[in-house]
This record gives sequence, C-alpha cells and structure tokens, in this order.
Amino acid sequence: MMQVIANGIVAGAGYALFALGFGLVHSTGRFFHMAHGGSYVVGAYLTYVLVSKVGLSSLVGGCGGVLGGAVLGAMMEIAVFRPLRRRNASREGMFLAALGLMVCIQNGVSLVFGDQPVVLRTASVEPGMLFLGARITNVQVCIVATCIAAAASAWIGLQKTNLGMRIRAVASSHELATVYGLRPEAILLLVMVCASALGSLAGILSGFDTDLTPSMGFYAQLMGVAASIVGGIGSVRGSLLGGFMVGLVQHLGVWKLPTQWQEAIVFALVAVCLCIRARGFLRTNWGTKD
Amino acid sequence: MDYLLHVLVLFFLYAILTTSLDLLVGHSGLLSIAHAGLYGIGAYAAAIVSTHFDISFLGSVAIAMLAGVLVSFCISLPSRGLKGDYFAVLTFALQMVLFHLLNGWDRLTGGPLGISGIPAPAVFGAELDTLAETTLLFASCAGVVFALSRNVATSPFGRVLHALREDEGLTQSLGKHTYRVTIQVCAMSGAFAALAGALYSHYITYVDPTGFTVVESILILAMVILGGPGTILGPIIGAISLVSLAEALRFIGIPASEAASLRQIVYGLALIAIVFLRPRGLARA
Repeated sequence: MMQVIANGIVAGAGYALFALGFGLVHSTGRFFHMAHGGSYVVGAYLTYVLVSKVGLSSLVGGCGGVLGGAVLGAMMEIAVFRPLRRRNASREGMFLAALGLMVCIQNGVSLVFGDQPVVLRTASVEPGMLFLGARITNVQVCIVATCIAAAASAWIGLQKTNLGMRIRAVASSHELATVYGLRPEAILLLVMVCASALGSLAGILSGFDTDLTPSMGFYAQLMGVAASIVGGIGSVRGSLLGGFMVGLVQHLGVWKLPTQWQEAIVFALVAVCLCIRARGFLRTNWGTKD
Repeated sequence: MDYLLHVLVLFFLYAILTTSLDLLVGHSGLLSIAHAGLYGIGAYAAAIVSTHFDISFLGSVAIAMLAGVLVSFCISLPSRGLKGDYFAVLTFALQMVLFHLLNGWDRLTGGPLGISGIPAPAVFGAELDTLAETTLLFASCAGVVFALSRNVATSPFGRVLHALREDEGLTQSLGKHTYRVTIQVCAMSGAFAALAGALYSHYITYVDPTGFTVVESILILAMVILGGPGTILGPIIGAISLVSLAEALRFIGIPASEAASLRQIVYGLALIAIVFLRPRGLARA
C-alpha cells in the first residue's frame, strides 16, 4: 500500500513538473502548448548523448540537456508561435501547430535514435532505501525534491519579484501590458525558455529513473495536460495538486483494477473535470482571462 | 493489380473518415481528435457481433453504425460550453479513453491481440469474393457518405452549423439550439466513422487496437486540414494525397519504421503549414 502511494507521488511529481511549465505557457501565451513534450524528450536524449556518448558526468550532462530543452523552446517560440501570434492565429490554430510540432519532434528523435529504448542510467540499479515501508531510489527522491523546489521557486519568482509581476501582467492582458510599456513578446519568449527548461528537467529526471523512448515526450504530454486540467491551468498550486492527483489516481487505481486501466482512469477523470469546470478544481490566481 | 485495388479501397476508406470528420471540423468548427476512437468503435462493434453471433454483413454494419452514434452522442454530451481548444482537449482525453477501452477490455475485444476471423463482406448472401467487388462496395459506401454529407452541408441544418462555427452566441440569439445541433452533427459524424470501421474490419478480417490510436486521429485530422476543411471535395483530396504519400514512401526503399516516422513528420509539417496559411480559421468560408 505504501509502495503504491510512493509510486504515485513520484509519478505525480514528474507530471507536476511538466504541468508547471505547460501551465505557465498556457497562462501567458493563452494556448495549449502541445509541443511541451518536445523539450521533455529532446532534453532527455541530449543528456543521453552527453553522458553516454561524450562521457560527461550526469550532472553536467543534465545541465546540458536542460539548456538544450530551453533552446528548443526558444526556437519553437521564435519560429512558430511568435509569427502565428503576429498573424492573429486562433487558439485552435495554435493548438494544431503545437500538435504538429510535437509529432515532428517525436518522429525526428525516433529517426535519429531509433524506436528501441536507450538507457541513461549510469550506475547499476540499487534496491533503494526503505521509507515508511516503501522502496524509493535516490533518483526518485531527487524527482520529488526537484519538483517541490521548482514549484517553490516558480511561486516566489512569480509572486515576489519584479519580473514575476511583469509576467503576471502579460498573462492578465497583452494589450494592457503593452500600454504600460512592457514588451509581451520578450516576456513570452522568456516564459517559453523557462517552461521548456522545466519540461526538459522533468524528461531528464524520468530518463534517469527509467528508459528513454521517442514516445516518452508524447506520454508525458498527455499526463501533463491531464494534470493541468485536473488541477487547474495557470497556477503553481494547481499544477502541483493536479500532478500529484493524476499520479495517485493512476497508481491507486491499479491497486484495485487491472493495470491496463491505468490511463483510461486518468483520462476519464480529465473528461469529468472538463465537464465540471473547464478551469479545473482551483481557480487561477493570476487573473487570466480569455 | 490487386495492390492498386487495395490502394483504391484505402482511398475510399479514408474518404469516408475525412468526409465525416469534416462535418465537425470544417462545417461546425468543432476540432475533434476522437475520430479514430469512433472508427475503432465501429470496427470492433462489427468484429464482435459478427464473430460471436450469426449475423449478416449488413446487420453487423448497421449495429456498428448504431454503436458509433451512441458513443459519439456520449462524447458530445459534455461539450456544452466547451469551445475551440477546450473541445479539442476533451476529445483528446476521450480518444485516450476509447483506445484504452479497446486495448484493455480483453474479454470483449481480445486486448492487444485483437479479434481475428471476421467474415468477409457479403451483400444479401452473396459473398464478395474478388477484390474488385469489395472496391465497388467501398466506393458505393463512400459515395453515399459523400452525397449525404454534401446534402447536410447545403441544407438549412448545414447553414445552422456554419453559423455555429462563425459565432455561437449570435446563432443562439437567432433562436437556434446550438447544443442540440452539436449533438446531432456529432452523432451523424460518429455513424459515418463507425461505418468506415465496420467496412475496414470486414475487409481486413482482423482488428487490433493499434490502428485506432491518437496518431490515427491526428492523421485523419491532418488529411481534413490539408485538403481544406469546410469545402466539399477538400477532405477527399486530403485523404487521397496522404494515402498516396504513405504508399509512395513504400517504394523508395526506406525501412518501414523510418518511413513511418518520415510520414508522420510530413503530417506534422502539413498541420503547421496550414495554420500559417489560414491562421484565423481553418475553414474556407
């Protein structure tokens, strides 16, 4: 039982980390960034190349992966999302373009690295330590810790700093922010870079925990979107809550039901949440509007 | 020759799928990513009834279409107040649920192994034993779907759909029941998608869940969007071009897995390109 809860929390931390960046982009850019999983998978594979092929240490490789993910985010913003925004693209249009990007990135990775899983883990698999009757590996502790640290710094950054205030201003209204002398495009680029760094961090951590496959980004995308919808898009609290809820529901569900229903439960939950409230359980605390 | 006929069958199959999806995406402005799920429901409904019960081809197709209507009806029920990209995300989630139903409910669907031994199509007792006859069957079904969809699009009901696409509030203010219209068009589209599924499973005589994933949904959507949503012939042209592309990639000697990736990259790029060309709305009004 404790093991099931621990697994749920570890998975949930990964989803929350992903949902954090996804929600940031959604609140400021006002579209479903379906290519967020692109940074996730590219960050993880870049780390794999740096660690296994170049021979850097895990930490340096991981930093390189995060950097690569951030650069990919900046490229997506500059090459696709910014031009589309300038053309007044509809939200559906942005959704579709992002979905198209995700398909391209996933298959690009699959062309380069093949569909077979690759292993990033450098050390041998350890049994992990016992914590309240559940076995947790160091990497898994690291995932939960990173998630909480990232959420805390995102919250502090958004609520307490001047830059965070500017981001919230842009999230609230692009036009008003422009009137007050802010440059929404620059802010949106910055948000995309930070969000993509978070996304690739989530990918790299999960890469150290399990294997890498080209479809991992798409899977994370699905779960991250689910977490965002369940928790409420556009708040740090909502991403955390949603991530952990999805992780726990997924693992607790399996405890009672056959494993093949794991994802069906999650997405049924998403559909129910969408029906009840399109914004999820928590109201956004950023004052976004459509 | 058989190969060419097989490609023709695929053309007609995808023409049915794109024409039915276009009722939602093009005519009503409802971006649905659950179409492969409905297609799968049709395929499995036909497969299950025709392997478990002694039922004719036409009967199993009818039951499959009924199943498609029912599931599509259920999908559209929560759509009230969910517009644009939120509807897309809802259908995305439901596509996942549908896929996992097909993949997970092993007692009924055979799980990942699927169902084999589905009888080949037979019309009024006469089995279609040559591929040419099957092609004709697909062609006539595609023709019927095409004609029905065209009639719907040009009927008063179709004009309500177009109004709904352009401005839901305004349509309501004219006394149109937009929620009911949404449910009706979803049910219709679901019936046609399930028809395609039923034809497919009787044609291949075997179904497994891998053909009904979200990737397939994106493929059908890409066909519609590439061809031009809301135009009568556009979705069919989209279907023909992407099916031809997939077949053409077979011949230039690329390994199958790489060809699949390349194909999907083309779909992705096509989606991005079309959004760049028509950023404000996908349908050509």
